[in-house]
Amino acid sequence: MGATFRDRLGSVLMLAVIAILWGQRSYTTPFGGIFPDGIMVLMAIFVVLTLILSFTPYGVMKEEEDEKKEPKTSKKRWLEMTVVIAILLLWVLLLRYVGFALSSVLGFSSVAWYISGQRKDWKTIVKALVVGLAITYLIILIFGYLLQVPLPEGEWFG
Amino acid sequence: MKKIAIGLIVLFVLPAIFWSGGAFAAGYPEKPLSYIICFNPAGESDITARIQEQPLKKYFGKDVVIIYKIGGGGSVGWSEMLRSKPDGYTIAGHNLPHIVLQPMERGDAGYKTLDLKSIYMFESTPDLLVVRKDSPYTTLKDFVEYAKKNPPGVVTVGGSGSSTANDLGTAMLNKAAGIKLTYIPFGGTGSAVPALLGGHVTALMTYSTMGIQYAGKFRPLAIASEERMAVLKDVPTFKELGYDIVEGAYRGVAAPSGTPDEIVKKLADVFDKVMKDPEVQKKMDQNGFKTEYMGPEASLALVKKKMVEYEGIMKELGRIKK
Amino acid sequence: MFEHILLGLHNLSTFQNLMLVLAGTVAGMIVGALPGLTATMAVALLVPFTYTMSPIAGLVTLGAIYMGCIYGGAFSAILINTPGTPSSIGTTFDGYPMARQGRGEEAIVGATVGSAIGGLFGVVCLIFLSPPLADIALRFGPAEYFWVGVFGITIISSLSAGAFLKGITGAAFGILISTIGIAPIGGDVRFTFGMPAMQGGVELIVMLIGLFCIPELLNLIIQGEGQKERIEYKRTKGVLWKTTRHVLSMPGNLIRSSIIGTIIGILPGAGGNIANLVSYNEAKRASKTPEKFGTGIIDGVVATETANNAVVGGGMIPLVTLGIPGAPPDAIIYGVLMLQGLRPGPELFAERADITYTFMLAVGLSAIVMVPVGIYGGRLLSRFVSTLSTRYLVPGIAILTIIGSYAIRNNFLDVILMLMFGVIGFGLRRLGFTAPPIVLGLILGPLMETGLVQAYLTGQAYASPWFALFVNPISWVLIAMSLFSFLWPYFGAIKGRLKGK
Repeated sequence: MGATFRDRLGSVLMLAVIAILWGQRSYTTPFGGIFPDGIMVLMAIFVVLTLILSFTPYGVMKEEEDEKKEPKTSKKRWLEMTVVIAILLLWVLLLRYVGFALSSVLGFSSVAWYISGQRKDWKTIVKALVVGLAITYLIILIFGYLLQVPLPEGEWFG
Repeated sequence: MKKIAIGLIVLFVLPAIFWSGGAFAAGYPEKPLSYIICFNPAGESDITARIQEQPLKKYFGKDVVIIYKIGGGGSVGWSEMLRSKPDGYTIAGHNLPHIVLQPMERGDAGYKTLDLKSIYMFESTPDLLVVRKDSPYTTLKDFVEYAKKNPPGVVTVGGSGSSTANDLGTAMLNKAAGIKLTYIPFGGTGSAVPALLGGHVTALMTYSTMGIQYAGKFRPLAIASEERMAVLKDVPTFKELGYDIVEGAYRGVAAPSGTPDEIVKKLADVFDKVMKDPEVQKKMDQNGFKTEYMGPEASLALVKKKMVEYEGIMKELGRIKK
Repeated sequence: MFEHILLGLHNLSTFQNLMLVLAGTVAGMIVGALPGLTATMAVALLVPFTYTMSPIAGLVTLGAIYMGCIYGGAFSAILINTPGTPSSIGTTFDGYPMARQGRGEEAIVGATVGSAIGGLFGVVCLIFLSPPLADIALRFGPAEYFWVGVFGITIISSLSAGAFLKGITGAAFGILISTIGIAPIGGDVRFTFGMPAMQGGVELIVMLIGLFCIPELLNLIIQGEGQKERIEYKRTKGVLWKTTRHVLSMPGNLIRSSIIGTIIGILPGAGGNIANLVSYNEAKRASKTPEKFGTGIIDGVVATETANNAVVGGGMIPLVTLGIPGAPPDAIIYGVLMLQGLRPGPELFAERADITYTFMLAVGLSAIVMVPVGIYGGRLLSRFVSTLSTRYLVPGIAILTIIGSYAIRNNFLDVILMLMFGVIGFGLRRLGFTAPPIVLGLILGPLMETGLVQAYLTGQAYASPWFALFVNPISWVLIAMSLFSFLWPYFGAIKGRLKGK
């Protein structure tokens, strides 16, 4: 996307953030509000400035030279990325319920399998599962037992 | 490939042999105890827990794991603890006045005061008013006079956090002496100390522990306990000097509200033994803590008493959230 | 004093203690390299192990872990563009570009030498200059901390030259996020969107992992398998010695960065995390080729890593002289000292000199031990990461982010927030809002707010309470420094334009 479009979209989004937070203001003490209010006002000024500047020749951010030279990312890659985000989201949500071990094995293996590019190959599936199991196991050993870092236990199991 | 498979199977089987899993042994305790600390490391709650850790393992019988759940002045840890299973394997250190004041002041702090089932109150640290050793005030009287001579709010008193015993103590002093001290909250007892040492505040309303630790640099003016503390025997109480101020932080442990009474009683016994352990007593005294020995009923009574007391004070100060 | 040092050396030279220093340093490095696991956590996790050791052994171990951890953060910063600890944020600026150009090993050597020298400098200050430095620390009151925060924010003007408005907007965004939760003064509940779970606010590490790791991970996917060669590992001979000589030939950078790290370390509560960024900024300013910063110049890596390791020694100065921890891991060490009945303060130096000096020397030794371990291990690690296929690197990073964000507070919400901010961060990066200013805002927000409101409260004696911000001479110095730092990139532009005319 072009530099000016970026500036405008970014500014609009930031203004939305400010608006949301402004709506959530509910200060009860005299001091609770000084600082956030002040920052929000300043931020709004900066964002509006950016927006205004995007309509002038003085764009805020020049498009990087090498960015132009890079090949455009294919739709396929964007789709891959979205699916991975979905898998990660599922992984994180499941953490609470099935625990670290199970969700990580599933999560790790799914991601590894999905982005491998050769998905139909059953060898890929097996390899992904095995590595997932091994890595999760290793992590539980090192972090859970050796370092005593608490790892989530699933709520559905005990 | 086969070798890897065999190797993995062995790797999996080995620990399973050592892992006890859900053993059906009779009686409690069967699992380790999770002891949640809701404040920063090196704070009073943390230090007390560390002093208790070894004897606790001994008397409890199983391992004790200290977990930090910091945030919201303690509220994050307490609300988390309440969501855990009431099976007696998860307890959290809790503090008065925080557990009473936070729901009162915030409306919704994520927990309700009486949801925390008090097991034991093991220590208290009375409020202590200190100034620097090289400051011109040698007695509380000097200090109050100085405050009266100056415009209201000029004299600054630092302390640990808002809605804490330090905060309340200063408010109570204001009321009792008819002065207006400006209370400046710092993010923890330790953070307020450099402010006093560097002369950025006039005095600190801090805890007895600081009076011991900085005995060489601080001059305590008064202590907010019923009687003088043995380790600070030269420090007069506010009561002696004519101000009825008894305030400080009480610390203990609590469990989620559904925990069976027998388990609570067992835990209370364990903590009782821990606090009566001579090593623990020595360390508590050394550091300026006042050891308490309140079991479940006594603790609950204390909490309820404080709830009534604080409601009165807070209403006067206009700090209750509708 | 010198007999104390000799005594300390003597105590340190037992086989057990030397082994502990080595083990601690290595363990610290590993933990530091893992994104999300901080030095504070590493030290806290190992405290129970130290109960069974003698006080000296326990402290020696903790000190070594701390020093090693701060150094370890450089590895992931250089290799996967994610700071392993917040103190290595600045190392990503030049370290990662260097890795992409196949000069990862050079970057690691630079980070190692810098860390060792910075670490030693901090310890030397600790041993010889503690009392005067501690006094300086005490002169910083609330107003000064506010200005330190402001000074930190002005660094953005040089970090995001050309996109300053976006940078400062990002910083403001970060500051706003930092206000979520309980207000430091007054206890107001802010921006929790009705969820009590949000009263704890957004943790720095959660944001850090989210904003750095996740976009990196997503970028890896977008660039696809073909990018396996992106970190070409060029095995060049003599890199080690050549780079070491090169680093040692920049004494200005080394000394300046060490001083910056030590000074920031002695300010309790300032947070050593900003030391590396301030140092980077200063190195850029002092350099003859500032435009090269950010493209993969080793000066940048040296500046950040030297400063952050100097914080280790510096942070212990207020700890041992006043009993006030200079940085969060020091708070934990403080707890251990208290437990052993050792009261921090002048008595510690005088009465228990044997423990104190042994401890300080151990931290110094750890800085030296880091060098061989780091260079050798770093070589292995960079080779490993560069040959690892994206297929396993992506889920590998993912699993580390989950552990890292959960381990802070054992809170599931944190993990979800991490992912959420990660995706948001990815989008923001595409729109021109990079991660460093946002994280800087998050770090400095509480510092600034606390300082501002506390200063206001102490200002009741003046005509307007705001005057309190301008009373102390240290404030004036800080304000001047902030203005200078803010305007400096524009001096360069103006000079350039004048010359061009």
